[in-house]
Amino acid sequence: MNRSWNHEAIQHRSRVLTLVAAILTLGLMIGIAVFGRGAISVMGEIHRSWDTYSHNSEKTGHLLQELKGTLGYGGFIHHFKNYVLRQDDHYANTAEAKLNLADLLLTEYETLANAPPERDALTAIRETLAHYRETLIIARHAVAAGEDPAAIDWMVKVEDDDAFAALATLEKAWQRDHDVETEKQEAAVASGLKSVSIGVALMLTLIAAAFGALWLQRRLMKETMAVTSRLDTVVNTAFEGIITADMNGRIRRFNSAAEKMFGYQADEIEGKSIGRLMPRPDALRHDVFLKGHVPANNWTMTAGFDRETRARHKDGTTFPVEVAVKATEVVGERSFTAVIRDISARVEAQRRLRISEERQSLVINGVNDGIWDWDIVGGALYVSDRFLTLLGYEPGSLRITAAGWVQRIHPAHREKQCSRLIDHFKGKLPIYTCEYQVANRDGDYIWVLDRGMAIFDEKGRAYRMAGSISDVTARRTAEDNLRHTQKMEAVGQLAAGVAHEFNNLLVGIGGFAAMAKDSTDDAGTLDTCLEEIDKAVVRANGLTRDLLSFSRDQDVATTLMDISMNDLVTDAENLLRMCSGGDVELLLEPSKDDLVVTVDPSHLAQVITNFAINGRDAMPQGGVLKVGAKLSRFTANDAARHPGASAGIFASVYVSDTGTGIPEEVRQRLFEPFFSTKETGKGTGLGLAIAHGIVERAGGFISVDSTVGQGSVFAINLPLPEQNTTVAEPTAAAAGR
Amino acid sequence: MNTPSVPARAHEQRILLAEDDTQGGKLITMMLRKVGFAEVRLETNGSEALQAYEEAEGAYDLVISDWNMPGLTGIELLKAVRERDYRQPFIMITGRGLMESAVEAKAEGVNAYLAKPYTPRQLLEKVTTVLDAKFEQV
Repeated sequence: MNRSWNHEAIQHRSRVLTLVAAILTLGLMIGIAVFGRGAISVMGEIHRSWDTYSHNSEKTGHLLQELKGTLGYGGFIHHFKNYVLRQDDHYANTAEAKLNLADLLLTEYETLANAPPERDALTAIRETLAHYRETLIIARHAVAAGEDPAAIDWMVKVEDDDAFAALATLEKAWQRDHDVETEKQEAAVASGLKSVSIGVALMLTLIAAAFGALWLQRRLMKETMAVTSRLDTVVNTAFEGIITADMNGRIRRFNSAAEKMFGYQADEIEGKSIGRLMPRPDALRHDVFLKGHVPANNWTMTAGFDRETRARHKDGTTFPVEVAVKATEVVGERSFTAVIRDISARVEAQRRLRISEERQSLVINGVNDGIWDWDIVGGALYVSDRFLTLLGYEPGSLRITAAGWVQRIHPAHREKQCSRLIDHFKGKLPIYTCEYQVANRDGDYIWVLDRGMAIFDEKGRAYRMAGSISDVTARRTAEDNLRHTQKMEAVGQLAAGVAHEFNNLLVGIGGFAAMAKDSTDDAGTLDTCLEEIDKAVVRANGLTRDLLSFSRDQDVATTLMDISMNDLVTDAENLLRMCSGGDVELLLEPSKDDLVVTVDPSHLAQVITNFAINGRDAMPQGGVLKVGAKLSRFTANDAARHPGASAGIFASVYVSDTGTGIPEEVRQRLFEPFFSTKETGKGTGLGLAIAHGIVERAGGFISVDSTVGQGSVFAINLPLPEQNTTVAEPTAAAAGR
Repeated sequence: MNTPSVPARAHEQRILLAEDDTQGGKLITMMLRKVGFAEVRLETNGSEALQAYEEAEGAYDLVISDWNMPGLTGIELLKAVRERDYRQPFIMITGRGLMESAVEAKAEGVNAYLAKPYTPRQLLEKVTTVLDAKFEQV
């Protein structure tokens, strides 16, 4: 099977692209997840650091406040002053507790404060506290000693400005730290948020782009698939074989038409050398050509159009093709695509046409007939070279027109020729055929047999006609001679019959005369003898009349007369009786219609006698010979069975026998001169040929029907006067040919 | 004119005549009867003549036949008769007058041959010659 044209490659590419889009999308999602998670963790980190910071700062602030409370009014100083003034131990204890607390606070503060100024400040506070602790001890001693509070106050006077300055420093540092940290956090958060927004926006854009690319790719693929599908359909339904080969001459694609054309399946030929599809010498040349041109970067040289060559089928036979090759380079891939058309049928048709034309030309030039082609509407008449040479002209030396041709026809034959032509145009004669005389170059008349057929338009009008003429002068002359020979033969036969008859008469006359002489004394016998002599004379009269009728004007000319068919039959009777005899019974069947025809009776009698002799010879064991007249109707089908016949109603004289019958192959050859089935010496083989000529010249035709074993019917069919527009052979013979 | 010789035993003899020409047949019949033959039988068809010959079972002393006849021709009748009796006297009459006919008839063993036109006297002479020769042979 043929593979889809580029389909797989496209599908493959499409799959790859889909995969890429998917990977891209997945990557993006992973990116989003990772990035998002990073952003979240950053935020958390910020949050946590803020928490940590805010916790420390709060603690620091709280410690600072505690410290200030412990040391300030209401704190140590307050209680210390109260102790000094009131000298109550409770104040001293509270003050000492405050000091201890302050120490603790300082210690805690130290764990939180790392900066040197803070540490210096803490040290300064601690030194002041240590100073106070010492003065408290002093104050306790002074109280115990009962010292005056003022003196005590003086004694315990402590310079605590540094401590308070240190506290201010701490507070200031705390405040500064707080401000810086807050600012930093805010900046970090703002920056984090910004980068997250940018990241998310970027991701979204990428996702959109990926989806867009995917959609575009899908649409592109769909369109490409549609285009390639259409291309596939075109390629695989093309009548031409379409083959693609690579630069090494390896077949890559092979369409359905190519499969049919070469007998290979695409699967088995793809990958093989293109040379397999060429006759061996061509394949070798092709290889050399490819090797010569492809490396030389002349690779497009191999392309060509409408080259006619031969291709090789899988079975080894070669056939003519027309090839167009195109070299293409698609996305860097070079290939050749050949479109191949099987032109066997065209070449064969051309060959047949050429042979046909040659044959026609051979026939036209080779046959002895002159060919003519008449454009009835336009009047042009084409005639072959032979047509002209037949008339004694050099080929091409004469232009004949239809009217000019008629002028050449013997005046006595023009009417017949014209009438035959009209009958053909009217459809009465399926084939126009006419024998007539035409003047040749020397002005001598030659006999031609003119035959042709017209082509009719849809209205039944003849518009073109073609046919041939043959020179039948020799045949005509031969026929005349043969007719003469036949006449001599008939005269010979007749003479024998006449002699026999005449001798019988002489026997009667002489015999009875002699007997009469011897019977002068016997009146009865004498009378009988004289009566018999008289009868013999009457018989002799009849014989001479028949002889005269038979021989009437035969050698001189054709004498046409209107005669009844029945008279023809009865006149022939006596002659027929001479022909018959033996066990052959003669029956006459006159027609009930009075059929009058215009013929030469002696010619017709000759034909009838000929038929009768044949009928007798066909009945060696005896039989019935019927001679009669009747009206016959011939359909077109009937007419087709008899040469020269046409459809219509005719007056017929027939001779039928109950003899052996005539096989069809013999029937068809009956009228050929010298065709005889009789044994040598029994017939000349000319009788029916002459009969045919006689009847044809009388404007009629002979029909023969026969059944082997049952007998035959020979009939002379003549046109009835009212139908007979053609006066057959009017005066040609009488004109003294 | 001399009276022609007549067969010695004509009054006892029987003749079969085959002749299709009515006048010829009538002439011969009249003439032979006048001579006094015991029987002159006329047939106008060759095959009928043969039939009559067979029915008579050798009773005819002489057969006279014309050459041209329907049914059987004279020569055919002669052959048929010769098959039955090779010594049967047989006279052939013919209007053909050709030498070949005479030769053919002789070859078939005809006793006498007479060409038309003949006279009654010529025929009677042939008949007498043939019958008397037969008688002499016997």
